[in-house]
Amino acid sequence: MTVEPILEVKDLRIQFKTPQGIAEVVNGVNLSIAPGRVHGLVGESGSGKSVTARAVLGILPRNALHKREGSVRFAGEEILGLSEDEMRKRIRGRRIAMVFQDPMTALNPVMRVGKQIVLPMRRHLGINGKEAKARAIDLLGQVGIPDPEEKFKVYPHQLSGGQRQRIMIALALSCDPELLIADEPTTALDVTVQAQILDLFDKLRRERNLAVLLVSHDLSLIAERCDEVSVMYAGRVVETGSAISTFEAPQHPYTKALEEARPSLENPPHTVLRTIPGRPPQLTDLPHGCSFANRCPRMTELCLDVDPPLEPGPAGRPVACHHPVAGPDEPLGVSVTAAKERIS
Amino acid sequence: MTDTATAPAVRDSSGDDIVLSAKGLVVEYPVPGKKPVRAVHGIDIELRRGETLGLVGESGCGKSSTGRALVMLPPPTEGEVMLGDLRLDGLSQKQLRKHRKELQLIFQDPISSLNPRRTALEIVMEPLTFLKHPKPKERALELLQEVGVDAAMAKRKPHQLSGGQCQRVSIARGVAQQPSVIICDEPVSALDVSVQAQVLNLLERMKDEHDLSLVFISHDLAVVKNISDRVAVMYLGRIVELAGSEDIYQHPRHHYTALLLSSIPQPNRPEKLQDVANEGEIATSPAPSGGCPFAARCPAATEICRTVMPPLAEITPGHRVACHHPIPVEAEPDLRSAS
Repeated sequence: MTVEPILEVKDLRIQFKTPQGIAEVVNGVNLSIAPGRVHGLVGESGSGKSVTARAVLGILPRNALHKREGSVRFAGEEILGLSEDEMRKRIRGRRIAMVFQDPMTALNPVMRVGKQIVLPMRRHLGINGKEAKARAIDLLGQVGIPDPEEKFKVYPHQLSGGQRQRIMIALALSCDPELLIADEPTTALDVTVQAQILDLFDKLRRERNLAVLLVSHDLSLIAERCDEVSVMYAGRVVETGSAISTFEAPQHPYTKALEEARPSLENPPHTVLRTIPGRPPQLTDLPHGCSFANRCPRMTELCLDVDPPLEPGPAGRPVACHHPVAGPDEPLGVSVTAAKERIS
Repeated sequence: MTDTATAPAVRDSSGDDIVLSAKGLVVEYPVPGKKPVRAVHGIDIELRRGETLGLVGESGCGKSSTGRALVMLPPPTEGEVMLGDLRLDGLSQKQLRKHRKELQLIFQDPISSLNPRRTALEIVMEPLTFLKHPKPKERALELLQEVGVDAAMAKRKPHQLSGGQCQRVSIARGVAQQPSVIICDEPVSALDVSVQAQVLNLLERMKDEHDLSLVFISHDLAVVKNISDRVAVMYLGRIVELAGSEDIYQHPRHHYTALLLSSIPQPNRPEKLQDVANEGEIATSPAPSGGCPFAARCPAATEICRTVMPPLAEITPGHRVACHHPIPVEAEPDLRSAS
């Protein structure tokens, strides 16, 4: 596809100041999303997926260092260095919107939900209150809130978790953004409600040609709902490409191990799950070579010395590994090149 | 309800050996100035010796309340709970305490469910000392070793351990008292996938090595399928379907079970699970008319569903379902034609 990407992140690096020292939370991330596409960002806690998403919006926590490297281009414009004022006036909420995991804390608890949707429209779109209200009620209907006129008047605590998340989505869509960032939007919800919310994203994406960056820890969810995926580990993208292909034929040992660690409905009961030994590295003290090396069954001396670059692997998709998995049938523990170089 | 003695579909041959059971279990929570909220509506449940019984459902379905009531924390509002042939409900706290060691709980939040001011070793030693074990320290270290917490880590306090390690300590503490039953309430929900796998494998191993029977409560159907022998699906305080783990996932008979299964993200979804109608949300209380609690969302609902509560009845050996119009076996859950 040769469509101009709406969002292009290049070599993004973000560091946090922590009591243990400087933590390299995002470590050279590249991402690109085209209009109308859903890009999944998947990884475990501390992999840097949420921080990457927040960096795009310029809403990093206070202990993030000001020195930020790399580039975040949105619709052709560099937005990484924009001032807070400009971000707020032109970009955030207007052209890039965000949906968070916990709608209860993201919504203002003492303001009626209707007003919360009306305010940004009046500020960004310069329309009058009456017009904004009509639009808000229309939006509530579009996101599947029953009885929108009534619900316009309620407070967030009077709604269920699923409905609050729908309100968040209505709020996010109010100014007709071009990019929607959804950080674990359904993690706090029940599965049936999760399916409804994800269906809603799908509908909006088709109807409005909206680009979505979907952050989740759930590999199956990402594989089912995204066009492309980037798998993150210790602040880096270790594998990226078409979501279905990444799920069916993972190239990076981490992706494959993660997939095999997850109980599957296809396996009979009492299937022993794959475990990943050890823990992710301390971000304040990243190893010299590949950050997954000490947990990887394919590790060789090369992995300890040289950090593998993100380059096309056996399946054609970019992967950051010296000994990628050749195909879906190759077991994780075996790699011919790795066996030859095996050190211990 | 019928006895489970006729349940050949389940691997467990000792179908009669019930280690923990409840009849007509009702749990209510008081609401100031209002009628109490009924979380569990008179369910019957039996845990066989050596099995893992999965309790699955969405928030508010009463799965945790059921788990808690089974160990008398707090005791159920109504109903009978039997530990082997000992009746637990009606016992005083003092009498109950003697039997507490038989029933252990493992909670969702691994860090806050451990005493923050004690080391892992002290946490596991405490029940052993209480039970007058001759060598509590040695035994505690042995148990910690068994769950994969080494001597150096045993000196740490919960906040110095990871979530997975804390859950291992919880398991060691539970097993220390040689219980016959452990109720696991969402034990892996707060953990990352790779750590979750370690804890699930550990639970399976400890269950075999220590002759445990488990009640495993979770909202995650894939996790429940993997660990359970039998699965009970709950909706609004009632068991709507109960069957062998493989059976219930292969042939869901209740429309709610089918909806749950179709909602799980799966990149290669089996076709028969596609396009299950998914509308509406769980009501906070069942229909006032006293019909099936799922009727308002169910695509197969007819008049009878709105007025008559379907009983949990055995539909094939070992497979019980509470539905007036169960999904036919082998047919696609084409929900429009079910009536």
